[in-house]
Amino acid sequence: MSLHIVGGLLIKRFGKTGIRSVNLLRFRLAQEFLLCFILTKNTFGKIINKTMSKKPSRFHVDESDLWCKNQCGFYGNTAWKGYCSVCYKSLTNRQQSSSHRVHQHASVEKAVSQRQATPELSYSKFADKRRQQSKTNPVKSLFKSTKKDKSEVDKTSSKGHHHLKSEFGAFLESLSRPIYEDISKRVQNFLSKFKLLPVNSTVETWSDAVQDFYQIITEHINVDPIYQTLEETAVENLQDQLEMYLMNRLYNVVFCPPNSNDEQEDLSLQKRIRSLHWVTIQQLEANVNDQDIGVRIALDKSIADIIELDTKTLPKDKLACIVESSRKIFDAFRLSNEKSEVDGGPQSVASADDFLPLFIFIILKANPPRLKSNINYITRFASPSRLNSGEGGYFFTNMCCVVDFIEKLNAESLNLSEEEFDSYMSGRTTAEGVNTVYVCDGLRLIHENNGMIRRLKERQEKYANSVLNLEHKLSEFREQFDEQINQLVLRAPLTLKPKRGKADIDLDHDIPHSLPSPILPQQISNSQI
Amino acid sequence: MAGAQNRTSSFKIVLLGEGCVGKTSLVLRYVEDKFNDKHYSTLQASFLTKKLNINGSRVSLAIWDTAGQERFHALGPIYYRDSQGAILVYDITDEDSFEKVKMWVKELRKMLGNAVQLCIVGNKIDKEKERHVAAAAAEEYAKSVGAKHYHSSAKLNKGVEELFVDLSKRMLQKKLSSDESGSDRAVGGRGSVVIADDSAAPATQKKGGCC
Repeated sequence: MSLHIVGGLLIKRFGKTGIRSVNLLRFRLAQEFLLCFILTKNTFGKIINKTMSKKPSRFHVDESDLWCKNQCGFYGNTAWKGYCSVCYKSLTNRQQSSSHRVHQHASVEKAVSQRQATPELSYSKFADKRRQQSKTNPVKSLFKSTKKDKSEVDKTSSKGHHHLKSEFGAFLESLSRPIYEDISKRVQNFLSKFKLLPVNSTVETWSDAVQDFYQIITEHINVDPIYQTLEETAVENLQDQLEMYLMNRLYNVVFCPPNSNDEQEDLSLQKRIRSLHWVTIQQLEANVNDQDIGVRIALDKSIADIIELDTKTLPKDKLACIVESSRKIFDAFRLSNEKSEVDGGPQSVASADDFLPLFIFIILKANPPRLKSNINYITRFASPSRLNSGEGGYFFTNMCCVVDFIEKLNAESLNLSEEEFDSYMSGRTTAEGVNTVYVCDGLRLIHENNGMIRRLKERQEKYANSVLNLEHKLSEFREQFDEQINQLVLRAPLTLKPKRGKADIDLDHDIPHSLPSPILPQQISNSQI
Repeated sequence: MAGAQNRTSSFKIVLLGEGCVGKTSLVLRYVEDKFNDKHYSTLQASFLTKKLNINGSRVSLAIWDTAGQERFHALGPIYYRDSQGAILVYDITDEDSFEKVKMWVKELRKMLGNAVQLCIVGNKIDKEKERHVAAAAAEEYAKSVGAKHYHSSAKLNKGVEELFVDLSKRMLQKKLSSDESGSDRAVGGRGSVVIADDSAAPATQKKGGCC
């Protein structure tokens, strides 16, 4: 209590340097906030304790119930009668071999178990499986089944593409009869040829086949007289539709195929990006104010768009995602510049110098899934006209640059010393300060408030110290004062003289006898003169 | 052939140059005819297109800006792959920027051969007094590498239009001659991304920085 009073006195005394009332208010708020937090935590804890102390409710499952009945250390599943997938498999196998009677129900269950077992397997097993699959050409198997079981597979494959197929068909029908026939004949030809590619062909062979087809069609359109009536835009549209149709048909086969290294590349790139999580906007020297809320929203949207890239099937849609993401980055620049331009100077237009660093940052923060597969897919199978001209091509190229930059990133490219870079990479140093870290607003606020509380605490401690100091000084001063007085007293001791009575002239004293008697007036009579 | 001529020829032009040499101003002056203006209709100057008509043939230019910072130098090949034209900009008041241009010329010739039309542009001739790169030497250098040299000022709108029109004509000519011989088809087609690591090594020696 006394500390408070002294503190108040101090504020009065050091008015200029003392805590400003605003900060004091904030500090009080923070204190109350903390108090509330502690209280709620306590009450929640009590509630939880209460519920825990009650007997377990119906849906409460004990952890031991989840284990496999065989006690093999894996989790079991009710679908597998409480066993884990492996134990259940061996069990059913044993049952089958012993009884030699295949139970219809069991076989169905087994099939289910096998299918569900896949996610249980570790990734390495999964990768092995894929590699084995790649030896037996999946394309062949896919198309073989198409031939064998034409009706069934065609149904499944065309179901998904039904919409597009009809769209492509409708588009072709809008063209003249000879073009329609010519194009559909060529497409059918190409698809059947593609199916007949050798068993162990590489993904490059596929890519070459598709690219050759695009080129042949383009040349054919340029030369064949039946196409001369078409408008330029119609030709472009036709090429567009062709690419869309083909890619829809082939996407499942050619995207991240097992006969390529795409998957490994994806994983290593993802790991690389993860290890670079500490890179900040400032280190990349992107000239944008990331503290502004509008800019942040734009950047977040850009990240969302680039993540969406993986969900699209067609190269066209994938490129659209990249373009959209890039546009958001330019939005961020605009917002950032609007704030900084106070007096309406010349509008600064973002150039590639500004764009690329921020795009790198976006990719680093987004870490888009299967990025490398997507890039490879687009470079291999998108029509060349799409990649060499147009915004999509430009921003796609930028993305390739970003990936290349990230893969080769070293200390020099961030203007850091080798030691700094190493310490960041090993996690010894983390990005300092709140302002450099890109986090959501709530988290940033918490960081800011934490920092403020910390600063206030430091100040308070400083004040408490100075209060103690002052106290100390005061007592010292008093002692000194006392001492000085004592010294003074010693040097000039006070001698008390007897009290003298007051003299009162009006008092009726006895007239001292030594005095002559007062002169008496003499009366002179007139007769004497 | 007749059909092909009727169609628009689209060309890809890459803009190369150190930061601050005025790449952005140059292209904005050309596409929007504005310099340091308050109101550009575009938000970005990194990818711009322009349609032209040269002697009756339609030409569509896609102008690709590249990041000029030193640290992105190694990414150049990804940008200029499959481009028909390259504009290499330097600042006449900054000798380093001209040295940088020389480096790019070597790289471009190595990667693209003669398929690409090179333009070396000395920008900021409004600052003639502060000139540090001798005009004659620059012209001579351009000649020696089979490039054309231009002087321009985006600020005063000098030589900008000429530069792009001339480049378009040259690209058109190249296209027609290669169409006839049919030899350049393969070059103009697709290609995988090639990163020249060796070209990145000398880049680190030069210290760029006009700002």
